[in-house]
Amino acid sequence: MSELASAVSEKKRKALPEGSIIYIILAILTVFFGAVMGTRFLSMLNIMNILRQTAMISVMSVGMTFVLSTGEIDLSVGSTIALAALVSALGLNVNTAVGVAAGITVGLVVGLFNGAIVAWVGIPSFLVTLGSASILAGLARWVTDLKSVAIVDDWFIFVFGSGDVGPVPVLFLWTLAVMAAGYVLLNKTTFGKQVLATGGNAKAAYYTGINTRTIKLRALLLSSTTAALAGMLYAGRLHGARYTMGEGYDLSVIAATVLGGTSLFGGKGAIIGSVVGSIVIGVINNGLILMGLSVAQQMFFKGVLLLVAISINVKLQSRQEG
Amino acid sequence: MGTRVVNMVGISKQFGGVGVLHSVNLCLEAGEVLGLVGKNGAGKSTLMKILYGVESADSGTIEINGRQVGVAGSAKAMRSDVAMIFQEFSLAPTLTVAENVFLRRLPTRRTGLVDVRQCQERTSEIVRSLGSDIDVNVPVATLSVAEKQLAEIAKALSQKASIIIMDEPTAALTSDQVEFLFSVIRTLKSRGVSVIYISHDLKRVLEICDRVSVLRNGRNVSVVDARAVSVDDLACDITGEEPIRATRREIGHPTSAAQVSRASDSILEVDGIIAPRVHGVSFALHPNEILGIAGLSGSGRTELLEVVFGVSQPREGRILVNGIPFRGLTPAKAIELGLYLIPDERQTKGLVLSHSVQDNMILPVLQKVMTRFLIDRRKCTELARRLSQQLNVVAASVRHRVANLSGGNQQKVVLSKAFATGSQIMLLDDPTVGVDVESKREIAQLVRQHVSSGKNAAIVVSSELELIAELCDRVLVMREGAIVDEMRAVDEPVTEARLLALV
Ligand SMILES: Nc1ncnc2c1ncn2[C@@H]1O[C@H](COP(=O)(O)OP(=O)(O)OP(=O)(O)O)[C@@H](O)[C@H]1O
Ligand SMILES: [Mg+2]
Repeated sequence: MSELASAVSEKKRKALPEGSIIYIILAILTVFFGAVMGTRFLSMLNIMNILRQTAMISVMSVGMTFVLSTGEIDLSVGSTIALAALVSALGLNVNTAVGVAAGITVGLVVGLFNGAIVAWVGIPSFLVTLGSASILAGLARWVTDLKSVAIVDDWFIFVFGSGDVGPVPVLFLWTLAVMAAGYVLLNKTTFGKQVLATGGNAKAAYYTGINTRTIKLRALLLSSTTAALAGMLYAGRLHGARYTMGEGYDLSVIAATVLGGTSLFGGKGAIIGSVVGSIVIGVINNGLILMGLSVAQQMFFKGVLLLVAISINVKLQSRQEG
Repeated sequence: MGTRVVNMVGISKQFGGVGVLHSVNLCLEAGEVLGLVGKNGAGKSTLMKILYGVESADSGTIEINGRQVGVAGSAKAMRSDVAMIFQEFSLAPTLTVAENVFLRRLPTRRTGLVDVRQCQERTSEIVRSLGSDIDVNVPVATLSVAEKQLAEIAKALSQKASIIIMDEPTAALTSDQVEFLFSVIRTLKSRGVSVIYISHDLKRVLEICDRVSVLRNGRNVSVVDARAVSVDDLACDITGEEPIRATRREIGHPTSAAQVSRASDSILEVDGIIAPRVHGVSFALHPNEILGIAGLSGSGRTELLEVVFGVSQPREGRILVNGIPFRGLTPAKAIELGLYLIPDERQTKGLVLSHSVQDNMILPVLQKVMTRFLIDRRKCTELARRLSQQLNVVAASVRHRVANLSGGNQQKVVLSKAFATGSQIMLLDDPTVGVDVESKREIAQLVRQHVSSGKNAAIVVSSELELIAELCDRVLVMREGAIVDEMRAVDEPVTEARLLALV
């Protein structure tokens, strides 16, 4: 009897290959919103819209996957978006190259700052990035005195956010490119293996000759850089930058990454899962807006849905590993 | 005697479709010490976890003190009269001995607050009754392995357990500490407590046990009277083959006098190292030499190796590799210079438990499994298969999580990492903890083989004096952070007895 039971649960485990849960969650949400709102939700136009809105979160979730995989966290990505968008927009007043370089530089500097404090001072990234988030948010308000900055550079607007290559939005291409690069980097390079080992057991990794501090620094650098890129995409899509950009993105990005199968405790990362997780977040955001909920109601239900989805995911995952 | 306290009948267990226990029986009588032996992965720990109740069985029945207890799925519940001391300890390191002992049922005052006094008094009472005088108010993290062992036993007794399972309690203990543990077991026995004792040290098993039960590939092989069998009989039951005796010839001769190089061409020189627990140690290591360091745990041997490998920095002294002094070594730098440390404490320092056997094995040699710029999965699997075979790692596949391997097989994965690097200078810190007899011999051979080629050498630290005596060309005796004696195999064979007299 019990042998039968265990054989059945064995089968169930095999039937659900690792990382598949997120697709099921996505399917359930799509069916739900589709049932409630019909073609308003399921139209090609809206689906493209969701994917466009999701691109920023997708790009950042790739960077976040590396950070979580090392056992660290980055809570400063939201503020990095705003500062990078603003600084990039200001730089565009000089010329295109300066604008692009300025935005990316913000990402690099933030990453080095976070990474250096985590690695060399030894403060947990949770506190470090919480602090730097505040610094960055302050700076973003400071540089323009709360004013927004318009972008008129056509090339920038096309490449970062608003253009289409044939029928394909550039935001799509950015997402695919970043996802592919992240996938190779995490799964096929020494750096990726060292990231996972550092998160799985930092002490053992250190004894194996891995410089765990540099690994953490580089992971945080990746996260800030993808956040800066996301900020520029955001600015290009909206033809301007404002200090409020990126508010609430920290939660979305971390939720997307965890939903995709990356462990919050390190040692396990799933790049493609993170992007699918981002799409789940995008579907939730979009669905709630289309349902005509107020901003307050949207925030409320988004939180509820996220917690439910993450709980299901974590529970099922631990069962699979059981 | 005569009353059965445990009766396990027809216990079967599968993990992921692979059977690890096949209708196993085991019975235990009151006041008896029962040995449980078998090769790495035979199913000893799993069987005991089922008895303790933290693991479920697929079928079978268990009776404890005459009462039937459940074994299936939902029956995972610790049983009050059974205590288990795990292969890997389960103490909270930052809590004191007393707090650990009463963790599951801290005595409280009427106010609901913890009664610290009572907790301390009752713990020291138990500890003293076992013939020890350790301070029960120090954090467990500061204790030696033997003392942690004692804390675990005290915890078991505080729960009034009448059955205590000890899973490889002597694996990291030195002879004195083993003697002490045995005196504790005898005390327990005289109080009517029954003990199940798992170990790979068959001589010791026969010394302390009344009966011994042998498992092979998850099946009962025999139950024998400890007074009526020899170590060889037991070894034969365990492997299912006639025992092959480990002779010096098989392992290889210690380097002869002609081969021992002069001090001038030492490949590693340690000069006046002062560090925590190490008080001024100097020695040199020569090509083709296996240098043993014999000492009790806590003698500074682990700290010494960790300084040499760059895990911690010496306060004073120099480390020269191939004649060149290095400052501020890190493990990464040390590995570049051709050193590799097999650390003690496999679970904390040696392995990423949540990763696969394969991912653990390739970690120190990522450069070797690449094709151009990318890691090549085929090469990874090939390497992992080859190492598993070489070290006889028993796992369903190389994709299996290391956490699910038996203790001895986990240790072999740690060892395989070192052999994968082929580093010139191997530092081995208690390399055979938890490894079965046969594998021990194979490991000794691998070390010997490694050292005999090129300009390689090894330093072996071990609590097992037998291993040191068998394997080493030269032995340094370490006591309280200092080298107090040196023996050369070429002068007079190093024997276990000689070492025992010195450590
Ligand atoms: N949670 C698990 N999941 C999958 N397989 C497991 C799990 N636990 C144990 N096993 C497998 O069961 C077998 C028996 O393991 P067990 O730990 O009982 O061996 P053991 O006799 O205690 O060996 P050792 O002497 O090395 O400690 C091993 O092959 C191991 O890989
Ligand atoms: Mg075991």
